[in-house]
Amino acid sequence: MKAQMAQSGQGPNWHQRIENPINLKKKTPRIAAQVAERKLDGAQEALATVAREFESKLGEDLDELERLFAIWAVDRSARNLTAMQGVIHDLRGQGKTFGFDLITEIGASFGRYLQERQQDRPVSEELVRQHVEAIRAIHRRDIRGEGDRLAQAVVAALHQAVDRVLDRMPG
Amino acid sequence: MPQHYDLSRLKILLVDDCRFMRTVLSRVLQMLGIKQIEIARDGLEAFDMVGTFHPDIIILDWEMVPMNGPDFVRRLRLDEESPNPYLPVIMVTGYTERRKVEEARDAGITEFLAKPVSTQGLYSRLIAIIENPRPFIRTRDFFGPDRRRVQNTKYDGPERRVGEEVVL
Repeated sequence: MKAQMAQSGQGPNWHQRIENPINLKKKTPRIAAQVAERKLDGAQEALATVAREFESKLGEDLDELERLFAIWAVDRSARNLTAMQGVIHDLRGQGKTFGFDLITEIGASFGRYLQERQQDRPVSEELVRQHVEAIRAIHRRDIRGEGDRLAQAVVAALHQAVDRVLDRMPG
Repeated sequence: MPQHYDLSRLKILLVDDCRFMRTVLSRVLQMLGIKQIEIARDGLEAFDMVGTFHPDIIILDWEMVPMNGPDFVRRLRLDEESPNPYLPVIMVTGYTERRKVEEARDAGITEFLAKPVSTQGLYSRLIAIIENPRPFIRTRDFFGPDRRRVQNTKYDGPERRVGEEVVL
């Protein structure tokens, strides 16, 4: 195996360069572009089918999110917060993939708040409620893509609210 | 011009705690021709399955408990008991912040795919792994695919690696 070694084994730039021993070309013979394009079209169609399934699942996820929020509002344990965070994290990842870009945006705002907040401060119930209600509103009004100006203003307001709570701007 | 490959013999380990995203990725991979797909729900389960299923490529989520994506990759790359520290890993995540991308890179991932998932995006990562297997770099605090994709031979700054070719 061929490798490139630093001249000095002691210096801060010490490194070893190792040729990658994995060669997947042996398992993957070349195919014609047309064959690959047909497979890609099939994959695209599969993704479209799953997107339709997502729409019915989204309502169920939001019911679950509201249930978890209600539990957390009564019992502010880390476990209850994590459960709620998990649902929003999944919605964030799936939203944009299936056309609900603003759900991904709101999920990102929520995630940023939880990650960057001072851990010794209590989590703001009002801010969490606003995020949950905003996601529900996007679904109820079936707002796709980047949405209208009103929807964008709501998302921008959430980002600003997070900034305020994180002391990134005057209140 | 990119080449195209028959992916039917590849073995993929899909690691995601979200059942719906597993369904999404599985169906796309199947339509791309991949027949052998196994599922793990977190990094711990995935680590065991690397030794039993012997995947060719891992597709990995970030947030999972008890072991998340970056921790899994670090263990895969650095653990003395790792069944295959060179295994290619595609990280698929909703995180797009620069520091998150850098964290994943520094953990030792091979490719990064930000959500929303697209068929073309996933396919291009698979092709990149087949077409351009990147060399591995070991430093005092890193082991993983070379993080410098563009070779700049003219760079002469303080972080420049200096070296000579040797045969291991």
